[in-house]
Amino acid sequence: MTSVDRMLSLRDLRVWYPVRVGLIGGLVRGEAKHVRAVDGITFEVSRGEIFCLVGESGCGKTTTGKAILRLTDPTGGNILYNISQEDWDRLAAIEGRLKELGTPDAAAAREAEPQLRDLLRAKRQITQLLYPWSRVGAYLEREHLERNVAFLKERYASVYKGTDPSLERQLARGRERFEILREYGAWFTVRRAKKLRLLERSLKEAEYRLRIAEATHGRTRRFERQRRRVKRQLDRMARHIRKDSPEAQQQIAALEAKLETKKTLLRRLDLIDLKKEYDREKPRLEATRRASLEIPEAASQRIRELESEMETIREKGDRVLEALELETLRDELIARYDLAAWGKRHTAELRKRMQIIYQDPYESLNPKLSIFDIVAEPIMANKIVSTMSEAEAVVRKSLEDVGLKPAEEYMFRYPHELSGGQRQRVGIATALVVDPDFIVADEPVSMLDASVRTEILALLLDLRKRRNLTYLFITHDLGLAWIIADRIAVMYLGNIVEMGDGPEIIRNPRHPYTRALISVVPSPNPDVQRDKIILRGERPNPVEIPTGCRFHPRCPMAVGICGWNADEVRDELLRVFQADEAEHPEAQGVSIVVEGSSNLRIQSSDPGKLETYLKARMPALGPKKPALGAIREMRPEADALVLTLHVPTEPPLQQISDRVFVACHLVEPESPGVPVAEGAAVRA
Amino acid sequence: MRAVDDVSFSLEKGESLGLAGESGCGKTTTALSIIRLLPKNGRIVDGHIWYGDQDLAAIKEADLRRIRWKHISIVFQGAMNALNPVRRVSWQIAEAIAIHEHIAIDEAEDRVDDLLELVGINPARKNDYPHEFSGGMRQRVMIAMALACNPKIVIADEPVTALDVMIQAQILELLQNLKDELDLSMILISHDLSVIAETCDKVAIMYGGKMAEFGPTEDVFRDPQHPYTQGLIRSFPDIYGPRDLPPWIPGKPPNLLEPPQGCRFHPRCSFAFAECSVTEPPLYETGPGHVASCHLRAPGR
Repeated sequence: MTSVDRMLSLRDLRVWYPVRVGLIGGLVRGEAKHVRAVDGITFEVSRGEIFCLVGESGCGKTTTGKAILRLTDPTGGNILYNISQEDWDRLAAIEGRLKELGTPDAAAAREAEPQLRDLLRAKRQITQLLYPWSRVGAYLEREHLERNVAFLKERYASVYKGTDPSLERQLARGRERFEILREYGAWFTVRRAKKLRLLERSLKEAEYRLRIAEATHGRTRRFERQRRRVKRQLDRMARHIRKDSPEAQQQIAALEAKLETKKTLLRRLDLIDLKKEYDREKPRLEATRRASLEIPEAASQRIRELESEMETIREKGDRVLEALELETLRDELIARYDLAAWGKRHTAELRKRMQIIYQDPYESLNPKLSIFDIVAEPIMANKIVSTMSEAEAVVRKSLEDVGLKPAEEYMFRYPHELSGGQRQRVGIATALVVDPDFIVADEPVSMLDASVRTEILALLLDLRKRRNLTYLFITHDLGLAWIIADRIAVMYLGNIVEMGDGPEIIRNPRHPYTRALISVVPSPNPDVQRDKIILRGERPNPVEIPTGCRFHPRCPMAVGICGWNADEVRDELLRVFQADEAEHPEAQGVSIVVEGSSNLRIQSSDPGKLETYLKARMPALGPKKPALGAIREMRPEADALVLTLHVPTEPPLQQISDRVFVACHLVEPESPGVPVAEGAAVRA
Repeated sequence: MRAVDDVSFSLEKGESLGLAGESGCGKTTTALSIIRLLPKNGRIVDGHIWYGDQDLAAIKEADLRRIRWKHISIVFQGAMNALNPVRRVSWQIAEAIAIHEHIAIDEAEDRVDDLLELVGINPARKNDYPHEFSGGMRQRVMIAMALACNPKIVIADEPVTALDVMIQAQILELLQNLKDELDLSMILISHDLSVIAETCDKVAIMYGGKMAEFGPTEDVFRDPQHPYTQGLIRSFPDIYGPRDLPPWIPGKPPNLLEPPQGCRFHPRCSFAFAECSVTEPPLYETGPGHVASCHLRAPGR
């Protein structure tokens, strides 16, 4: 695989919602049921691409988008964010080796535990012995110390020059008091300073509200009154604490001096501390450097002993240990990049990098807020700006970026005053205002008229170029996916059934579900000729996902190995028997018992005859009743015919050709260069 | 507000007609005025709606009631919300029969099984509530309800909007089959041109409350005569077409309180010339049964 700039890698992501079965139900049956909204999906999104998730409603595409943004919590799997190529290769290597070793099961792990403990003890001893001397140990230690020393040096220099940020912070509080004092004068206490700050803020707020009211021709009187009241209070307070009084001058001078002393003192203290630490670290570094040159004979003797001890344990404990170790290593590696494992703090940070555009601009905008308030909310909540004027500049730029020009005309309007297209532009501006690099676009144009739709799409594509965005585009409209997607993943019932390059998937679908889906997309071109494959029924309940391939009950191409379970085969057999009753007396009045997951028992007085009859009927029934194909073996017993079925297995998402992945039992990997029949032909 | 202004079309027996256009162009209003179901502040100012030899715009309300549902019925927009959530499905279908045929509701319920079977719902589920049905099944119930009194004409107002593409195909197939089986005439309203292209015999494109173009579907889609129709067709992404972003029509639909002078489309039209902003174009015939309201199509131009 070539080097790809991975932005997101989803690995076996699952989102399950528990279904209430009730206390009694839970106690009696002892089972918990889940809606398996997303059921183990794996894909990657590279930087700068448009990755399309398509599928019918309820297939889990929106849930996937929400799980990535951590708007809903994943139940399993990982979402790796910005993983480096190096670590990706490492992960792949670990996983490849793990596959070779096989997953250690619980019993094997328990058996290996004492050995593992011995091994770890031995390893620890070696490490301890080696640490100061070994090349690796010394290298690591030296690196650590060198970093420390460099850091201390730098810190010392910055404190010495007075550019140290932590010192700045310490001084900032004193300086703030000083500033207020200098502006307003004497008689000032901490409480008064606070009050002053508060008043100033409410004045700004009142002025802002007044401007909105003016711009929207609302009632300005109330805000004008409010503004005047605050202004009066502020003036009174400022008068009260005049700065030209001699006391004030005196206080200012005193405070100024105090501030200066504090600054010097703090700096001096810091410098002393730093010097001390530097003096401590420097000789340690020297010692390590010297020590790393030689390994004492005694230590190396002990190391040799331990190593041979380890070798014997390893021979005995073999692969289980390696697998366990590798698993730990893999989990550590994953945890460094995994969004699914990050806490609330990290997630909040993430909001500045990842944003979402919602489907319905008629419902996703708060009708009580002005456009300015809506767009400014993310930057205020994330504390990207602190003042109103800063916010205004950012909001203006964002609105103009999405084509709402001039921004003043829209800023103080309310959502109901805008058209659908303009509202969706506001939605996009809100997502872009924090300057993210990844956007989940959840059906961003499906609620819009066709003529506006392309306009918004063009905007999204333009923004991708200008702002280097990566999109996860969620849509049910394959026509849309065809036009914009670099890559497409088709989802069905919480799983990806087909994934690959956009044009390839649409022009040359391989999975029966994708084929059906594409065949029913209506086309405005009357020349298009194709056979529609209309699937019967609706998608199954995601609580009871079918066994084997989850698409098999609706699949027009399903055969015996696709995952029919014993109940389905029994029902099909009963139907056949009922239909054949008149011609074949042996099919009369039989009862079928399900035994385990893959055995059926047909009670009959003459199993031999029943077998001949069934075997004779099979070829005729086969194509119409694929469930019967699941019968692998028939064995007549004394009073019954026992049927053994194929064990249902779920088809994995496997690579079919260069860049296409399909999860279907019937699709075989292609040898390169073999052309595939066209799905649809256009008459010239 | 003149929501629909000077719209004429005809529908033959067994034919299907598509009404297409952007939202707010008067599609639904046209359909609702056919059976006079306009909201209280709306009225038919002028014009005729001929059904056989009766003018539906002029006859008395009592006479119209005999026609509604038994002759012309409608599948309302938004199957998700058009059913009563506190009544069982069978009761709701039976109610439509009982009211229009003046029979008892119990009697009417006997016919529900057949109707449900006709639209492909297992009659065993007739006593469910609407929330127990999926979107596609609710749409089927709405269709069953429209068919309850064996009408001659069914008006389907956005029957597949907000449905998944597979369910959409199922419903369209169902409508097509029912049309052939029961020899219905159908008016299909949709903002999605591709749906109309695939299901209707004739199509009327509406813009700003007026009819921009009317003609046989194949002719209109293969050779659109009105610049608006051309733009609208081009703006639909086609899975069998080139992989480019389709062009869009700049500007926005007219405000019907003060529609623009002359041709309503001229402010957005790239072919507009002087005459367009002065006189309103009549419907010029451009082919057999194919008309377009555009000065470019005037004879001799």
